[in-house]
Amino acid sequence: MTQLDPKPQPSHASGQGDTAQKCQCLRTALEDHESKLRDAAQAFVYVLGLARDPFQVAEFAGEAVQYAAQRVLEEASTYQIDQPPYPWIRKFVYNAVRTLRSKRLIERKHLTLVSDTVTAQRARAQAPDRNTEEELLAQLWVARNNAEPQLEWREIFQLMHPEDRLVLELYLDGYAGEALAAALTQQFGRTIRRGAADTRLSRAKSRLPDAYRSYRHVSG
Amino acid sequence: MKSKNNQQMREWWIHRYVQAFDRGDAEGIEAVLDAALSDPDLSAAIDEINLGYLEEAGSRIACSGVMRRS
Repeated sequence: MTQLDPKPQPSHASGQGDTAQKCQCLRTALEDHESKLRDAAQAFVYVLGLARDPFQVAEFAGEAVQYAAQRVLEEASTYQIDQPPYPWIRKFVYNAVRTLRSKRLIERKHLTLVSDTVTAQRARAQAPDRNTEEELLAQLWVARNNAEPQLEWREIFQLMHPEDRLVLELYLDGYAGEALAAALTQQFGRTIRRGAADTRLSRAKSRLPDAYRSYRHVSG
Repeated sequence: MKSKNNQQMREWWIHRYVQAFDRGDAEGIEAVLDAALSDPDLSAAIDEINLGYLEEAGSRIACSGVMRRS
């Protein structure tokens, strides 16, 4: 699948049910979730670097949602009626944003090759040692569910920024999702949404390998 | 045990999504959106992260009426 083809995964492409019924279901979902789809589109526009100015972000997002709505109805026959429609539609919105980005790059006479290649190269260059990180996260998961290895983790957390330490300690204590957001809200004295809590936790996890290496270095 | 594994997997996808967002990694984002097609909890977490990013970026603009009703 290329970024210019907004079709979802083939696993969802087996035609089931009547297309008219699917169209009606998707139309309803488009209306019911319009606000969430716009928010998602704005996040995609921003993160993929299509625009940074808030008004431009909103403009591109609106265009993407409109284009995606059209494509969703064109592709209604491939929608599996037993799947929730919203995540399926959101994928079209994402692909619409990627299509807009490609068009914009071409308009600017940039080589189309530049975008994804550079993004991927940058991602690879910035990616930490994934094996180490995944091993650490797996070990952290085990520690979260067993009392014994937690002490060492708490020593590692001591080497981290206080906000990373706090979110990781809460995670080790069993907090996640909404519960983590509520605990952080209590700690900071201001509302921390679930998405912000997930983001803080993920970024803290990304910094774990450095702290782990420092800990190993110090403890010999 | 199965639900624990599901939860661990979901946490891994959420982590990947945030990482992909932080890096502007289009393929990484797409992979997580695909995983969310059949996981409503992951799908909801993605929406929350999207909102968190928009708040962080100060970019959340209401743009009502942008979608044509067909």
